[in-house]
Amino acid sequence: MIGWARPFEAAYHPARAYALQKALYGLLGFDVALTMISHAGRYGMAGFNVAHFAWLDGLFPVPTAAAYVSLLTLTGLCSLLLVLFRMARPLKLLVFGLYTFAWLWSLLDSYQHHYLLSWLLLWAAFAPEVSAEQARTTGAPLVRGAGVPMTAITCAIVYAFTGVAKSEPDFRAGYVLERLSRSRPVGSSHPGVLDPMRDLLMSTFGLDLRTAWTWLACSLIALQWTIAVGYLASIPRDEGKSRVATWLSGLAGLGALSFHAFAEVTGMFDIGWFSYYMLAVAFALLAPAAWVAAAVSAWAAPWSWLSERLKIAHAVPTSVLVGALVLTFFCFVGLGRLIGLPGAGAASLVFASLVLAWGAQLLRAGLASAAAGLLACALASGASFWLALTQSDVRFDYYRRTGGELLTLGELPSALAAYRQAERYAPPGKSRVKSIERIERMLREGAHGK
Amino acid sequence: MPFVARHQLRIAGWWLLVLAQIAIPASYYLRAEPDDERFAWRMFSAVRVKKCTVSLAERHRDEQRSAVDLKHAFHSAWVHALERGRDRVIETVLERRCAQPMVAEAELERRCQDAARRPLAAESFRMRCDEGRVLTGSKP
Repeated sequence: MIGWARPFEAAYHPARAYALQKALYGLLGFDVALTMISHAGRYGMAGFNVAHFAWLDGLFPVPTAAAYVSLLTLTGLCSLLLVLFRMARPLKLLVFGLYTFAWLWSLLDSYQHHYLLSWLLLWAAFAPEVSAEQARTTGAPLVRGAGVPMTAITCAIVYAFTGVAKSEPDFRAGYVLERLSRSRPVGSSHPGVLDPMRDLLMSTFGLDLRTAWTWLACSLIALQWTIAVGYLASIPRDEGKSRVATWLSGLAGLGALSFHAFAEVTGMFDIGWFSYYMLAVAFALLAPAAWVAAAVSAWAAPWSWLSERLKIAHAVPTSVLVGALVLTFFCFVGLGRLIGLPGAGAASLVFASLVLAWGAQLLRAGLASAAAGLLACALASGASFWLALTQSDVRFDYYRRTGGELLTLGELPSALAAYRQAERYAPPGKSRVKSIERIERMLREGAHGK
Repeated sequence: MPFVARHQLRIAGWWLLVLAQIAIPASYYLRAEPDDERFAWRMFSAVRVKKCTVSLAERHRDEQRSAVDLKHAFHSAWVHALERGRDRVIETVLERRCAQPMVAEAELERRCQDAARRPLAAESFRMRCDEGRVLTGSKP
């Protein structure tokens, strides 16, 4: 192997590729449903938008809530299909394109972890498709594919630059950590998240307040760099030629897992599902291959059972499978309309069309059990996504946020309509009846005033 | 194209992508826009915890001055973007105000405290509507 090609042609255990992709798309499928769609109402409000780049403003119109919901719904459905069915590259690239465009379209979404996810989704498209059987075998032959090493390189770059950012004077002096952790004076009855550690450093080492914060900040900087180095070391690790690489990636894994678990539990570095993604990537790339294979084995068991059952589809007449495909299409069209969010119906229609076209292609190729598997997985994806939207507060949050902002902007009729929709989905104790009555009164008073 | 050449091209492509991933965040440290941390991997930085407020005022063609209630004119997320100092949002907001026929000049003022709660010099972003350019300055 040529030296300069080595990072991208490193061999690794198939469990890493399998776990990384399943976790990434699984998290994404539910992330878009549970954390992103509820904010869609702000898109295009008052006809105002600024994209991430000026040329995008020139090319595309102001996004609407419906367009944003459509993008995310299609992203979510395709992601879940990738988890349940096959890691088909065209579908992976589609998910990358849709997700990336969704945030590029507006500066309303400037979350850096969404930008990071775009890189990870692009690399996932170049990760090998491995079977569960390969992935769960500890001694399986190693596989290659630039997507996994590129994921490690990207993570190393991210942690390295966060280390650089945290090396600035105000962070090193601990002011940022003080604010993020909501620190209180020593002896406070409601200490901030890091105050116990601060107090321990001060009492154990006799440090003053500023020095204690500096130690905490510098240890965090050191952790970022340790994780960065570990990700780079993980690239050749499975080839077994370097114990140093194994130790470094293990240390980085411990660091990443503890940091992101701490962030999630304390809410201190909390941005959406960022911690979950980083925990998943850290486990897939930095944990020992045997552990990752064991996790894959636990995940894959029920799917292997289902896959065996679906093999009987060979005995089912093609006309029945075609009928099932068409029925699935109409199921999605119907479900999309029932979700009750603008744009969800259009996305369901597009997804159903994709499934129909793919299923037809599989049937034409004589792959009846694959077509049956596609159908089952598409229905399961749709059901999961539909449940995530309907069994959570997403629709309520979408409409109440939209109603609140429209009310502030003085658009009373639209605000009233939004609040009435919110009331349909209001969980117990969160009724918006008072807001509805208030707006109705304002409209009456406005009408009488004319 | 021979296999070896294709292979080398592919590897070069990967290296270019690696270099791009390094160059993009590195460019933050060469630019004069410290508040624009997008793509710089600066999550939870000292810039991020700055607390800023913004106010918008207009001068009309009849020389009357008025303050604009930002939260009644724009979605709160855009007001937050103004507080974060997003240049393109600031420019577009000023353009939007200048699109009103009676407005001759629009000025956004941004006041911030740094991570240590020290007040920073206020920033002013002014647009004369007939010129269409944003003039930046600082105020005591």
